[in-house]
Amino acid sequence: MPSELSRRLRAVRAALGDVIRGAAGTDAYAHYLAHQQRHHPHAAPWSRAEFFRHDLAARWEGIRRCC
Amino acid sequence: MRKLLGVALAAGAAIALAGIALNRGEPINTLWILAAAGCIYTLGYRFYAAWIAATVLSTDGTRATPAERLDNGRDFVPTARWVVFGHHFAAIAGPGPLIGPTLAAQFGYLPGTLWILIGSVLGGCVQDMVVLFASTRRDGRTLGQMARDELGPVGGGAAIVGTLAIMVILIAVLGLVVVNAMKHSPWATSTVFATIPIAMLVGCYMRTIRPGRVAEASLIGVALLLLAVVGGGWVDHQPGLRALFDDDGTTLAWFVIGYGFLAAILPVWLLLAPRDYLSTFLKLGTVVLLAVAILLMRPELKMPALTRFVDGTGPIFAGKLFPFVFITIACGAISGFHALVSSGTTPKLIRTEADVRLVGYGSMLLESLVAIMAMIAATLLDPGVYFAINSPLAALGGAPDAAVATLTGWGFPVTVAQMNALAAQVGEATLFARTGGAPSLAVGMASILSGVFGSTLIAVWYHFAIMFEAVFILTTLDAGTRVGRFMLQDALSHLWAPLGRTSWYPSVILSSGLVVAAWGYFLYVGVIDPYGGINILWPLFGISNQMLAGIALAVVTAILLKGRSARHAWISAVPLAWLAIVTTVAAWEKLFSASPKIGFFAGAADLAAKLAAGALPPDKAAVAGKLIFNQRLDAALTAFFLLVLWAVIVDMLRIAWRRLRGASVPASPEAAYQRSRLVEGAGA
Repeated sequence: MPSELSRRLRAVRAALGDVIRGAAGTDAYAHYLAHQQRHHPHAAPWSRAEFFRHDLAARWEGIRRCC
Repeated sequence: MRKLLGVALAAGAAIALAGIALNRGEPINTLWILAAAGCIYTLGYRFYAAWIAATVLSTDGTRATPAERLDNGRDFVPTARWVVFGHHFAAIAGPGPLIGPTLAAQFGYLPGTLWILIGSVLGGCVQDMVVLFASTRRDGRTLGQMARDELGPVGGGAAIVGTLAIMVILIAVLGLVVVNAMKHSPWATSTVFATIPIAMLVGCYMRTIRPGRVAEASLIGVALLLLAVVGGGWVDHQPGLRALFDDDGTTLAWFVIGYGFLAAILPVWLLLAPRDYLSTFLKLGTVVLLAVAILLMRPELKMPALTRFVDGTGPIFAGKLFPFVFITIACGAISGFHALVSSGTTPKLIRTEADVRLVGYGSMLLESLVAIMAMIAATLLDPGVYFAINSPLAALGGAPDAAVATLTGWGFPVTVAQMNALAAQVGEATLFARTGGAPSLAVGMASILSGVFGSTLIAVWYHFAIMFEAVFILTTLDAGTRVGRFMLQDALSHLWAPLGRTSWYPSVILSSGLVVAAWGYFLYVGVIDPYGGINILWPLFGISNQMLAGIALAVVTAILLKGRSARHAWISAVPLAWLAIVTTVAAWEKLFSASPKIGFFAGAADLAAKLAAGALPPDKAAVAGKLIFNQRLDAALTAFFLLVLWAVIVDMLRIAWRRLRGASVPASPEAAYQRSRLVEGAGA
């Protein structure tokens, strides 16, 4: 069935997009916004630039890359 | 239905392996290898990993993970499974699985390939998955913390010291690989140098021009990197510029050391973070490109299944098939380093325990596939060419003429004209004795990629591959030096508290300097070693990495023994026993072998005797003192690794013995059960 096939293809494409986003960590700001929305809806969230400044240094304190 | 699939897969794997086994003596098509790998991976994932997850670990999809319970929107974030998979794969995949199989190909394609497949499915993947699971159950604790909790202070201390030591050796050997790839190659050197300002530019773009636009900046950066590859070719043809980038190994080593120091003290956003984004995109792109190209090209392997060097006389590194094929492959099959990531950032992202199998076991399967592709790229070369590129000239009798005569005499025919033609084709002055695996892998990759995507570009493909490996390696070097610095600062803070402040510049410079000096020393000695240094450093790295895997598996075994599934503890105890045997035998041979090519003490004694007898040419006599000291230092390090490994194993056995007798053991501190509200059907 073509519709079933296209649905599957879309799912594969979405998964591939997820893999790339996860590998590079380009989705960090979106996650942060969602978290703020959920848990602190009344506080103004950091802007993308502010988040980037705060987030980056913390990310490189632990072991993130292997041999 | 599942059973039917299992039978079909087992039959498929058997047929593919039989195809490989029965075709001995004639060229093997890569499709057989890929078919065997595909079947074995699917069997491992669908059956073994599923059984471990369900029966041994009892993963519970209704249990709230730390990502959910401690969600802070920053490091603890419940994340979709494929995103975590991507994150974890990018974190564990480094240059190791590209280099190890390339070097291990000196035994032939069969031993390395078998160990990559079997070792990953039964060992490496299990280690990664179970450590990830254990850390997820313990609020994302690190391996060091888990070792202290589960075993006691001895195990905990050993894990931390072991991690610092492996970091130093790892960075040194990777630095040596880059230096050997750039030595007297203006094209490679200028391209690799260009990656530094490109990364800084991308960093500034993300910081000030379009803040936080990571994907956009990375794409620009990747485009610039590709331009740098082509630009390197242009530099290579300008006599003035060419001389500027035509450097010997020692100069390049000092550059890498200086670069490592700068990268460790510069702010993260300027160099490390943008370089990492670039290397991640390159990594994913190249792995996919290579996989597609291999499938399209289906090259035949020219390397025999087994070579004469299984007897230990190999020119690339000395030592018999057992145990050295296992030590050399290291990361592609079992990597202790992965346990640090599996107990670092990843467990804080796991949304549900049901994802542990895909993320832990699945990512390592993909890493193993990368190792298989590196093995293919090495073994599709003419064996004579492969050995001429990867062996130090000193091991083949001195000059290129003597080297080809030696190789041809061994049954791997190659001529100087053939090597020169190949070097001219890829745009290098020479390909003789380019040890370290990177140039040989680049020649293999270039021949695959140019075979599929256009053969006129072979020089560009070659330098693309070199750039890709260098970016990869320098990212590990930056990140590793930084982590080493933090660990050292943490340790120094016990001596004097201000030294622990990570943003106090005197402490930053002191600790970064110490870490860089430690790996810089090994890098420098490797560069001045007439045998190329790789033959000493890579086995040392392999031993340290397998030692770390042994520590991780011992911690995991202790955890399993204390839990309800104690009778299934063999899933980690068996790989641990194998690693203990392999690592101990390898370390023992490196220490006490009477052959000066294998044993560190024998090597030092041999060199000292030659020096005393005046049998060394003046250039070698000048560095002999340093080499003798270095061999003895390597021996001390090897002994230390062995001691650390056995301290942890004995500690684990002590726990096992106490548990068996019903005596008290340190409690296994799992976080209490809390019902997840994220998983469908669990919220009710």
